[in-house]
Amino acid sequence: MVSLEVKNLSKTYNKKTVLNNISFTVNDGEFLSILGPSGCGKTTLLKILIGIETLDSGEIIKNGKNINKLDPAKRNMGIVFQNYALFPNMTVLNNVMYALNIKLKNKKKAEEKSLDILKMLNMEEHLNKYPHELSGGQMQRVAIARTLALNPDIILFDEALSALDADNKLILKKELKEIQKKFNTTMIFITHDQEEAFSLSDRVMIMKEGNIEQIDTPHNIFNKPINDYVKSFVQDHLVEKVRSIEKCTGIDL
Amino acid sequence: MKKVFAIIMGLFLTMLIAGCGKSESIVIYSSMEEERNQALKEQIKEKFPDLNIVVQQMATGNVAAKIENEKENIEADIILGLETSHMENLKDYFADLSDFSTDIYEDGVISSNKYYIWDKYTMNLIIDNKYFKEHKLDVPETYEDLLKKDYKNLISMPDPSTSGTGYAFYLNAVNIMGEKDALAYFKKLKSNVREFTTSGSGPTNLLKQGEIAIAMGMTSQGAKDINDGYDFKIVTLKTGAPYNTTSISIIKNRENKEHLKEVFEWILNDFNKYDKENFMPDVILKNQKNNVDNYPTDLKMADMKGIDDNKLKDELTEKWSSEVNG
Amino acid sequence: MQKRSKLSIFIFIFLLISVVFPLINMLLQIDFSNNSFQNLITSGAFKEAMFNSLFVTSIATVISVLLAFFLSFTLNRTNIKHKSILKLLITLPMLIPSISHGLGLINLFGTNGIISRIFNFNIIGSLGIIMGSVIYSFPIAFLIIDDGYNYIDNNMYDTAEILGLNKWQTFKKVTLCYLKKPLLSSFFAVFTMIFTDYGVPLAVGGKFITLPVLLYKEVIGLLNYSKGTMIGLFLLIPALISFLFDTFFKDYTSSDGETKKYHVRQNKLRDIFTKIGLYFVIIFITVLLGSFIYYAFVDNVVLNNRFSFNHINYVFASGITDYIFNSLFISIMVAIFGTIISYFTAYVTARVKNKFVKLLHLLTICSLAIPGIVLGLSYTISFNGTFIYNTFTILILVNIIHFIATPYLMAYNAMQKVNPNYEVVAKTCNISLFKIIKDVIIPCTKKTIREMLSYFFVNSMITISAVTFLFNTRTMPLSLLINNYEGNMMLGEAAIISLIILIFNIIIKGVIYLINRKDNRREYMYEAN
Repeated sequence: MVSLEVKNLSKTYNKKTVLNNISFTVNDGEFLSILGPSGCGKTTLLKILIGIETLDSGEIIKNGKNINKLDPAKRNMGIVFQNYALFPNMTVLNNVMYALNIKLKNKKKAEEKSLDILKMLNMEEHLNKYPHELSGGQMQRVAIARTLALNPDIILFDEALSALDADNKLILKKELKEIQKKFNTTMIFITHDQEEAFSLSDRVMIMKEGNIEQIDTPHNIFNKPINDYVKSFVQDHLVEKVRSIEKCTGIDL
Repeated sequence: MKKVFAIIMGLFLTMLIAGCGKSESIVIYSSMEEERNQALKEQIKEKFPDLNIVVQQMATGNVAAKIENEKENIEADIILGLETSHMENLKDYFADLSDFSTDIYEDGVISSNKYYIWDKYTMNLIIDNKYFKEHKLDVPETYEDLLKKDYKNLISMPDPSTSGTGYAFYLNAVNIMGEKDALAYFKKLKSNVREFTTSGSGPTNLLKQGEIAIAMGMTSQGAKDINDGYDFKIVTLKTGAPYNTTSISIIKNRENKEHLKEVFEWILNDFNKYDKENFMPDVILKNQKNNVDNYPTDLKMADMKGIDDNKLKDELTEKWSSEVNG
Repeated sequence: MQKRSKLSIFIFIFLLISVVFPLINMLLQIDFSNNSFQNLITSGAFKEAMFNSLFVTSIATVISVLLAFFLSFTLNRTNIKHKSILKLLITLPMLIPSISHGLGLINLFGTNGIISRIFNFNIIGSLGIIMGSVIYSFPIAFLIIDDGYNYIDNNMYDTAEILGLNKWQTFKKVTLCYLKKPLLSSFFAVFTMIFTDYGVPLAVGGKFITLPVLLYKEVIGLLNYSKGTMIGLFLLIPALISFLFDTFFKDYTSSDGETKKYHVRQNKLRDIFTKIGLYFVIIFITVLLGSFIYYAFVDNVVLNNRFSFNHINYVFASGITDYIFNSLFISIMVAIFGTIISYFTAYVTARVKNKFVKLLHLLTICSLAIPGIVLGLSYTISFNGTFIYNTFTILILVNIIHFIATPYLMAYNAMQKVNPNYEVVAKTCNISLFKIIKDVIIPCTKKTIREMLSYFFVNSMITISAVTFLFNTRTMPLSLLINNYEGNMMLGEAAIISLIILIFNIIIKGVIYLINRKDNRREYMYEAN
């Protein structure tokens, strides 16, 4: 069980307001996407949540405790990057085991657990391969496995699917949903891609220039956009989708 | 991680400690040529087999720079063969040598108790006889002769700023022609000069290599080269052979180092004699023999007024530096 | 963040003591009274030396860079075989002191040189300086440009082909564009190097005086530290420009995704011409080094041509093993500690972006601007009487500072290519900074570390200028023996020392080469930023 609440968070960089007094909660076990164009503040938000960036004012409350000043290592949050950040000099298995081994101080247990997770992600055949021998999708799985091994309450994804091609993206999206169900991990997904956000999430939080425009289920956002910006955001997306279906089928909708 | 750190610290300490020990050795900085240093080292080994004596060759300029910089912390105990003008300049860093007898010297040679003359060396033109014969060149007899176009790029002279040999020629020219004319002379001479070498033995080295045909250098080196088989000839200018001196002394407060007095005594008397008789025949010692073949005796001495005046040297070399562009 | 700041401060203090403090002491030597500065720059000697320096340096630099460009083109864009061995041969001149190059040139082209005797000409003077300078500097320019080829996006060639550009246009728009920075970098690096060297001009310059030689004479001969420092200031200028260029010129190369291999097209004519040129260079280098062997084993090159072991016997009877030990000890220590210091400094400056580390970056690189002789002198003045004086430590320290800029930049560039997210992973997974450096970052940069070690080692073995004032009888390195022998015209002995240094350097380079080759078989391709 985990609860995360952000209250009145603000951050200024070089006299520019990057996050403007935002507040929101993340529900236990939910898949929340933070969606917005570049420059809207979502990456900064991620950095602050994870603990590698300081906030100017506001609070982050996890499980009832204020974690503003808490060390990243103690926040029990994991992170998956767009460029995977796998350790190129270690095999798939060792990549996943590395941090776990340090935590558990028990190589055998670490190995067992890592093997389990990798199996669940269909990576058993690649245990002794090095990252450069893997495809993008496989690398991303290893990155996810590495994070999962440490049992984080919340996993943050920083544009994690952006580097993948369409096919791999589809496969990984499916797998992400499965992982979420299996591990019941809360996931916060940063992206600029509406498709990803809308298809994966329980809720979507649309940001613009440091402000939260709307945070709601995809269905609600689509049917009841709170303002013009969200409306055009969604409509454009819808129009695009319709157009692509028209192209594929040849039917004029 | 800790292991790595320990290894690194270990290496660091080794680095600091290495090269620190062995302070019971006697260190001599010698500006003599390699040959003479070799002889010195061999004889020291024979005479003092149980002592750790190090003879380190070092160019005159470097020695002077080190003394001026490191002062009494200098590693050397004995300074040997340093140009006398430098010695005079740095005499405050040397010990009082009054305890050491100067009987071995001819009268009038020793003028200070802070350093004793080590050698007096004359300079002459040393020419490549073979080259001159082949190209049917006239042998130069005066400074003026050296300006002849025939000798273009065939002459080498040491740089007065870095070499006592070079300075001797320069000072002699100044004494003969006057400062202004001397500077003008050397400016003209430059077009015939292949190089103003840093070291005093530079010109004779170039001569041996066949790079030039006229070296303005030390008589002793010319004689040695002739004895080694080179077809050279020593030519004295009509105005006489310039000369300079080097000296020997002990760094202040080192006199009482163990065995130092003994060693210094031996160098001053025994090796001194050997060195002069076999390498540097210009007379400074009583009853000094000459074992060097082909060394011209009874050289006419050139006008070397002011050779030990260090202030004059500074002024003149400064002028050389800016005007002759040595 | 905390550990990194502690590291930065430690490095900062180290650089203050080893770079800033001696330099300031040096500058304090300048006597500003009596218009001495004006006197200096208006004096004939200075003007002549300045002009001479600019003249030979410019010409030599252009030739050197062009030559390097030609060679790197040959090794990257033709079908020549045995590229890696050829690369090693080309860089051989870097393995001996510059004064040895001067002596080698005299051996061959002096008035009485081996080749001069046949062709009746000699190169003493500006020609000799240019030749000597080109010989020891072109390998460095070559390495910079050759490395640049690795960062060209080879997809652009396909694009160019599709757009219908011809070979020359493609060369201009693609190759030259990506090589712009390496070419300019090498130009500045070579210019600075030649401008501040005194080994070659001293040996072959004759009466053609350059600025560093003038400085040498002022300091060694006249003990005029003030004047020497003032001249030294002028020697700093090209390096400063170099530094500014490196800092502000944006690098447009990318290393996104996979580097596609370049496919060299067939072109026999091109291959023949380039091969000839390349082998000409290699033969020249071989002949130069061969002249050392000749001089080492011939009794007296002028008087007779008898084979003899005289010179070798003399050298070994003079206790050469002590000097060899000294040089090896110093060079190994410099390699180890120099690599550690520059590696961690690069870590801090490459992976943290703030104003303080920019200062560290500046301080580390500025040692490139200080000529060895000035550095050595400043150390003599500053550390005289301290506990490190007259020990190996001061020699090791001065060499580290003298050479730190290049390995530091190697590490810096390597660090920038390592994924920046490892630290974040470490932070969130509670892995200590040092552990992630040890387990991930160091293995990722292994090849660079080896190059750094070898760079420090080789340069410590060949350096003369910085250590000239700081050695004493116990610590004297091998390289200084060359000066001694050269001063006494014992060319055979000088040649032997040069050869010994060359052999040790070849061994180290060979070992590193073999290790790299073994590693390449297990290639890691590093992820893009």
